Amino acid sequence: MEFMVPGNLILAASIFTIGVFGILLKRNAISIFMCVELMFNAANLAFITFAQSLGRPEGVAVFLFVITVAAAEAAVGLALFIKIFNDKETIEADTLDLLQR
Amino acid sequence: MNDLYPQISASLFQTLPILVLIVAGIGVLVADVLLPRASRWLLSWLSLLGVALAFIALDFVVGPAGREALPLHSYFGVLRSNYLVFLAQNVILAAGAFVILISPRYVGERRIPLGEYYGLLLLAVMAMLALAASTELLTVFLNLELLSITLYVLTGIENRNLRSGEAAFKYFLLGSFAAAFLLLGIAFVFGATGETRYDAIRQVLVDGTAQPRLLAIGFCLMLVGFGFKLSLAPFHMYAPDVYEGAPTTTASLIATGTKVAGFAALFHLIELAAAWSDAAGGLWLALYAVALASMIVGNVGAVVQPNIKRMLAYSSIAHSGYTIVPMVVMLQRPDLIADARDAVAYYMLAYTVMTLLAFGVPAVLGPAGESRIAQYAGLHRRSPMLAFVMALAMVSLMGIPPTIGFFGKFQLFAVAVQGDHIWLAVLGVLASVASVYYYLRVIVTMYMEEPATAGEELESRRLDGVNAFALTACSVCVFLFVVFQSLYLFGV
Repeated sequence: MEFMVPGNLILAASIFTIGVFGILLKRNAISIFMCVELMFNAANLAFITFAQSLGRPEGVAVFLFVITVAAAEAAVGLALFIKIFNDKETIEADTLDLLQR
Repeated sequence: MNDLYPQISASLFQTLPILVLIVAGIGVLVADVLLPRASRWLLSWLSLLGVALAFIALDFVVGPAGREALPLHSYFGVLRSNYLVFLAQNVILAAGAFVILISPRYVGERRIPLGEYYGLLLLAVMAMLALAASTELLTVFLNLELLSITLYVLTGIENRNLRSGEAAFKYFLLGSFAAAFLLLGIAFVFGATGETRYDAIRQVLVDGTAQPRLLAIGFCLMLVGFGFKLSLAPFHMYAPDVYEGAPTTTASLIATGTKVAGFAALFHLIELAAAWSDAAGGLWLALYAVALASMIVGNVGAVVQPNIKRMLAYSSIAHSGYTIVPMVVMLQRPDLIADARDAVAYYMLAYTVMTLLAFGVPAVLGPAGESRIAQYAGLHRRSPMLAFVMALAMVSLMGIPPTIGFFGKFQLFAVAVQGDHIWLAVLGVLASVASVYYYLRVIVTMYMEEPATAGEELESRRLDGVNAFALTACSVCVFLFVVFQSLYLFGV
């Protein structure tokens, strides 16, 4: 099975790396969560690319499921952020330091 | 289409325990709305009934799948049942029942919303059962996410407690970060083999037509995702904070059920990787490093923790490290897979029993016993039974002979010695010797120290019948399974 790295895969890898660095550098919870979504979508792009290059439809099915999971996760995550915001008036990750005392 | 029908009905039958739990979980959520406020206490009994029915369905309706890997596939090979899965599912259900039994008073005191708590607890247990049986890449991901999302909510469910919210916040962000790595790993494994089902992937690996580089990257990225769920060392940063901030009952479920399900799923993945001859290279090194780092970080970190739940979190990191020792061995020695499976299965059972005990005591003591270890000073005079149970848990976690902890560890390291990994076994034993220090500190505090000031004293609490039953049953298990194991070893 001859395999060539298509341009899409390089794009997916770059988006994933941008997401990782975003998480490491950003402090705002919404920004961090957006970077996580970026990583999910990079993985989705990889799935679609592989599905196309291998001629297997499973990759597209996975992509649809992952979108749904990401939406469910966003619902829980945003509810959590609102709860934190109501208590602290901010959602900067640095300001959460009650634990480990 | 007609020939699909028997296969689907057989699959529905084999996944009966999971279906029962889904119905029970949704039933509890509906009952929460329908029941008048005064009779909401029924919800805990309703959810216990759900777990009991799932237990009956698992053990007496579906039945064990045979000791040797009798492949019981359902949903076209997406879920699999074998000896390891069957045992893991039983352990998970028992852990779920224990958590439900110790919950009522704790949940009442903290004013945690009952319907959401018990409903999500049942759905989390259901996701664990499904995760333990998953042998398909997408199914693994979906079950892991279902489990994670329910646990995020269960962690942050305490409305008035800022710590609970903070723990859920950290768990959520780091958890979804790790899930993205798992997903990319799955994408690479799919890209390298063109398959998502484990049995099909195994065929590709045996034929040698997979893309080796993509496959190696994929397996390593998946290891990151699993490492997070199992709180293995470089990915453990969230664990102490989450265990400390989460309600203690939730923390006990995170520490036991999640790990049992994760270990069963990881075992299937490593078993798959062992079919690939190149796995003995990079992937083996990565797994070896993770095992070693977990044992060291867990035991060193636990020594300096003044907080009981943080100490238990580091101890569970160390125990995760011990548990993957047989998996490290079997990646190089596929002939030892059967021994590794037995050792991992037995240790999952042992770890769950002793960790449930260790978390059960703080949960029963409530606010007076959930934070500093110093609070336990003089506990043996106020609550002799609780002090004894805690001491038993600590002795078992240390791995002192007549308890289940010793026999579990013995089997793990025996596999390492069998596979010529003497150093791994030696380091594991040294790590557990070091662990004696911090486990013993708890016992010394309970039995030999007096509270420094009157305010430090634990209020003495009467055990209610349900809590006492759960703790007693769990304590009996610490010795009971040793007897079973000995009977089995000596061929009785």
